[in-house]
Amino acid sequence: MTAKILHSIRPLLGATLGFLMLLPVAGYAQSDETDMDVSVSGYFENQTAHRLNSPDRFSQFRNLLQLELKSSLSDWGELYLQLWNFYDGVYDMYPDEFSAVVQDEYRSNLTADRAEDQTFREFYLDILLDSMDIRLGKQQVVWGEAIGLRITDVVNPQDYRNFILDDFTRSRIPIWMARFNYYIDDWGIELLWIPVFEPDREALAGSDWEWTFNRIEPPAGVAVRLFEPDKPKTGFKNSEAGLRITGLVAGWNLSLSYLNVWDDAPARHIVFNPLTFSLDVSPEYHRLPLWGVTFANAFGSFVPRGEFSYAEGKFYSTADPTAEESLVQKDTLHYMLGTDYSVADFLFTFQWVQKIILDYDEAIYEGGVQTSYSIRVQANLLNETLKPELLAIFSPGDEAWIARPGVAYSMTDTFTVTVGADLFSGPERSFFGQFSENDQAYAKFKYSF
Amino acid sequence: MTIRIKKTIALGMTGLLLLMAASVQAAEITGLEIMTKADQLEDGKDQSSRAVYTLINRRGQKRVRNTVRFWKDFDGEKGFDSKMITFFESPPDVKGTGFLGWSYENETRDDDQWLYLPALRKVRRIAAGNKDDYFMGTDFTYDDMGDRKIEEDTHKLIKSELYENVNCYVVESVPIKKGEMYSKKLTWVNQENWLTRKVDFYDRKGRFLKTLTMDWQAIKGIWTWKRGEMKNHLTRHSTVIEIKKTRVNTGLKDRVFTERTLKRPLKFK
Repeated sequence: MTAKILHSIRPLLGATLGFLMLLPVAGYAQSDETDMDVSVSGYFENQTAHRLNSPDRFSQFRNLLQLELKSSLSDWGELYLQLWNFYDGVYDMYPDEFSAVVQDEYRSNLTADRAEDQTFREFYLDILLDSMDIRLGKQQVVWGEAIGLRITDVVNPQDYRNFILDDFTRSRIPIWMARFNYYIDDWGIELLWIPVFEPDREALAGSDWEWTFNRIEPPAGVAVRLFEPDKPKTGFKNSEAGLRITGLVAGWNLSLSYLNVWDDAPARHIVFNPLTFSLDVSPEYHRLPLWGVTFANAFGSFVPRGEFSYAEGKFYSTADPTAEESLVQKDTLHYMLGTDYSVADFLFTFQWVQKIILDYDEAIYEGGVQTSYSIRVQANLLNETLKPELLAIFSPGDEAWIARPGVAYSMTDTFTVTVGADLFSGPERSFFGQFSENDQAYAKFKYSF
Repeated sequence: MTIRIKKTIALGMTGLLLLMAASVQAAEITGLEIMTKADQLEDGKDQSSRAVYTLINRRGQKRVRNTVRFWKDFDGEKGFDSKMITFFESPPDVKGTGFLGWSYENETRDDDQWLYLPALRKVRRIAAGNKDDYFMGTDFTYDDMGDRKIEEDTHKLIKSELYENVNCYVVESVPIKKGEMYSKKLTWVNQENWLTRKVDFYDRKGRFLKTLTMDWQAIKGIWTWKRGEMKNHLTRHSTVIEIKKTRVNTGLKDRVFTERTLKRPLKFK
């Protein structure tokens, strides 16, 4: 066991040593008395989680090292590199519980598919002009006002390998793009061009967080053959683009956005194959034009905020036998209305969220109107050393919910301990209920530098 | 010998006269006038500085926050009173956090405030309503940091006394509105230059809660804080603020105080 763990940690040590070799360069840059300076920062974190349901075992023993290298290039620019290295010991502790593919994908970034892509997580050059910032490289774009869900914040694909339990800063998959921000007084114009499409990263079959709520149930005696999706070929025609205008009007922070992108989740084209007597499922990616609006303002202790997205012609799976390849296209409205409320050392966030499939057809598997509520309570106690937090999302349509209580304690300026739990409830065929047997309690240790 | 006695009597008489004159002046000036003069000290057109916050708990353990602050007086231009932007340089888990505040000439209008959290990579609009909130885990509330307005309290001169060898007025300030965080404050104001040297705070129940002491420095003729220390007598937690490299009237541009800058901290050279 120890040998296996050491073997798996080896890439972590290798990358760390490699990164440390960069430090003399940093030292040189700082001592050169030029305007160029280099800073190194990051954190090491261990999160150990244990299942609260059967089977009785650890669900996570993840060690994550994040290193950030920032180098300013005089006054006109900056280089940024973020390296990731993680190792999750659970896949060596319980090798019989997971397939080899799952073990490789979840054990470490270096044994997972596209290892280098995960290790060199972000890498970009900032060019700073008088009224414009240009960012070229692999990066994250963060839009929107909602907490805990993404409505207009959909420029980057998402990593669902740990369901939605990771912070978005971690679960957003950085992608290559050119980003231009132009500023005029209180207004900003943002233009994105994404040459290479990158889809969501789904949880693997057989992993703890495999999605089962939307599993295809074939008629008796009919097999299901699932094919790998083909990513759109890289080229100008297949590239993605976005435009966002932000402004401050009469105290309101407003934004209007338009994205001409690929849907990060593939549509499942299903045909019956009489030769193999099977349902052949061919996931395909489709274009998805998206309009977005966001707003926020502050009134005393209240900060109302909201966002709307309108997707044109999203593909939905349907039971309608006349539908071509079991799919129909519908426009979709997705919105959130909410408010923050602060009192003493507490901050409450309430959100009301709806996803409405327009011109709905009852044969569509997804509900026509999906509503959810969320509440988040955060407190800053003992001079901001003790921070209890609760995030709960309730979906009344299928009576499913997730609750995430936790308490973080800063022992020093650099060392924080967190304990908490991820609790799920609901029917098996619901988004949260599919994991009702995956409740877990965790402890997290984080050292920042 | 006779001459020496006469000289002594003359000096004594002169001292007595000066003391009487001072008493007359003290009798003439009101608590409101003293606090107004202390509040209206010239701030300059803009200021930039480094501030080191040291938070010390009852066991003597220290936490240190290094910040950079830029402030500009808009003097009513486009309705703004002033704008301020602060960045955290350390500790590492809050490095890059930025706070932007716009305050308005119209005193009934709430400040507009934004917070940039690098952990979220997002600028969030935040509520400016609660002035009793403690600022970033320190023992200072937003009111203590200078947000409180003179007209929110009644002010009464209660005595004059020496504080650290400086003649000070001692003014008692009581909130006009009931139920505020402090039931009263006692402020020691330097009689010569109107600088506040010390403040005692009493909580809602009248308990002696906190003491603030301040050291000042003059830069280009503008008085700014050099050091401030707030001790909470109930929690035995204290915060020391040391202000370093203060610069005044450097011609900070309006565009420093925007969301764009918030996401990309300014360099303080």
